[in-house]
Amino acid sequence: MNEGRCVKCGSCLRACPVLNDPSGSQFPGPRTTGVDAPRFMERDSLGRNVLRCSMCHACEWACPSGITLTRSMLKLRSEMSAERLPGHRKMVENVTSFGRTVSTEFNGWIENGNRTLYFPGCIGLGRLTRLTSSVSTLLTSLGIQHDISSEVLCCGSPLLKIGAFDMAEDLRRRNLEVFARYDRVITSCPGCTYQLREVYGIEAKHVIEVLKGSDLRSRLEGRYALQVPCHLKRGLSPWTAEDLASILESAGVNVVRMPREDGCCGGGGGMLSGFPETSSSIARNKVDMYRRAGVDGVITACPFCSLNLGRGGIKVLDIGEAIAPKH
Amino acid sequence: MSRALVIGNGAAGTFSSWLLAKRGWEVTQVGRGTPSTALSTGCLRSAPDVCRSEISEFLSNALMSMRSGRREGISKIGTSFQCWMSPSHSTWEVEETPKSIAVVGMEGHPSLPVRVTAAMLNERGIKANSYPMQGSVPSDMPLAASFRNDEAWESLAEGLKGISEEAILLPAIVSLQDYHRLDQLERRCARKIMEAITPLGPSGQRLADLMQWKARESGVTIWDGRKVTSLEVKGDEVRGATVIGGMDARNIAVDAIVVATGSVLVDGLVLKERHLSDPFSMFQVIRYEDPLKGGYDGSNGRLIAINGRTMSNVAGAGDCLSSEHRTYGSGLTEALESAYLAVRALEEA
Repeated sequence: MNEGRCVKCGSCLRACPVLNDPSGSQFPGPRTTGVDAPRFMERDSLGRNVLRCSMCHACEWACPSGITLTRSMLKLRSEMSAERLPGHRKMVENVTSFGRTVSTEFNGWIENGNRTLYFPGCIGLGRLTRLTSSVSTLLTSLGIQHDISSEVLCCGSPLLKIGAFDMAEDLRRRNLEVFARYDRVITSCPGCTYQLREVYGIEAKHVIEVLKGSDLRSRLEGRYALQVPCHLKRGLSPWTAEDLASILESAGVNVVRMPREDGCCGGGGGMLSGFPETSSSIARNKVDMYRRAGVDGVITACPFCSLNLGRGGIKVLDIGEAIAPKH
Repeated sequence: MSRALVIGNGAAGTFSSWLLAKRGWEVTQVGRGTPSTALSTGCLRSAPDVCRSEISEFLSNALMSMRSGRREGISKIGTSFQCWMSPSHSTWEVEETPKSIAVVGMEGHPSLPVRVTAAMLNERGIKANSYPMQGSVPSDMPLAASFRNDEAWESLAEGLKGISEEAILLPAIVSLQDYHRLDQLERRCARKIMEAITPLGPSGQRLADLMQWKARESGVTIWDGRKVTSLEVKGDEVRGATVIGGMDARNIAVDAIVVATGSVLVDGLVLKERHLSDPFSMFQVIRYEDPLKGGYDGSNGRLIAINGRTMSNVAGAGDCLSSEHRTYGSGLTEALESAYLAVRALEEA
């Protein structure tokens, strides 16, 4: 790839949320995992510490040479031995037995033959069912009749992150059979949206793109900061990330903007399951930042951010839980 | 209101945006990633010939006080660093060199090699002792990561208690938001707190952050992480641009453009393939209703399309590399001055 362009300036190191967290010292860093390791023979000696990365793309944005570090890292992960971390092993077991990364708690399936499919993703179906119901209610009240199909499986994105390419490919094939029955797919997870667009090649829409332009009102009292999801801003589209703020503001939510609101929460890239202690340390430090700003809560648009920051002890809401139609 | 597009989020691009916004333009600034400002020492080495007061106003802020004049600081390997403007803890006035300096840093970490630095200072006749910090941090991990919370600063202050030297030299570890911690430490230790002059560290990033913040404050719309891929030209005017970001692309209409992409690291340093004197080589120019056949040339800060016409509403700024007369370390000052000249040229056009 383009690792040869590296000028060793260290911009990626300064941008990395893992290296900049006190718990991140075991991560060899983006320069090693994204630039050096893919080129050199010694890569095997790095072991599983290369997985201590949340795949937030911050290094890629920071790189003045335009190196696609994340792509190199994914490749490195795919070449690693099949021996997995306990959390990742569990994820693989879950996908093998029922097709999703976490057990499914959601039971509000809608299978009415609507032409639109709402795809909440594994976290939305397993851990944050209230988020899923809120988004579904919001879509319905905006006149978007949709199905939530019980046949839809994991999008495969987390499996790519732990190097299980074959499993991801199998999921893609099985999901596409379900998608064939629908004209339109709406998701509430930027990671899923990115995967569906980039790997599946379908025009999936994140719920922010659907909400844009609608007449909405706030359901909240108080001041709220934003957690801008990495895969929304640095993956899908920075404009869509900006719409998160503008939709909330025009609905009348009191939004407090701050620097580093687009910094990673630590929940991506398989970190939440693989290295929960690093993941929660990054989240705790972000939560401290929000607390210092004196906000009543944080609004985001990603189930992973909701889950991880929520564990840090602050009220975290999805955009679907923060607003409602005006009429 | 006239719409301006500024391409590049480095010193030149950001200063142009700020100047244009102050003059009533509606400005969109598009930048792809880390500008070379962020790789600098965060100081302006040479004094500008023009627009001195504008630069001072642009860089004045509440978070990090700046000092200008004949200033001197210490690099992270103990050499002397002279400049015109710097953050207050980076330099002192020339001829006010401290008599004795305590060099405090983490041995083995590249942020400040304490023993080498102290030896260099002694060599220069400045009495210096090294005080290695406890612990170890991997060399690729920014030392700043260990100084994020109050406890870390508390224990640093405790550790500095017995120091008798007149000044304390620390590695560069604070971001713009945390700059006040150096002031607090100085009050608490009753010793002058100095920060080692460090390129490729937090100091340059701080300056870049500060500039962006000022531009944003003056009403500039900043499209970060995005890249201009083509320009739409009609006659001798650029009328629009295509910007990509993530998986999305947008077209915007413009009345004027500042091209501030020129620097050492444009487009990934593909040194062999690109003409270093051409700061514009990353664009494809599209003629109106004739959308292809890129290739054009830059000349004296003017954009020339393939039809040979000079674009009347485009000005170039911050083209450090193609400037033949640039003296060592003057890049940032030159970037700011050329931004000022570019804006003036657009206003006159």
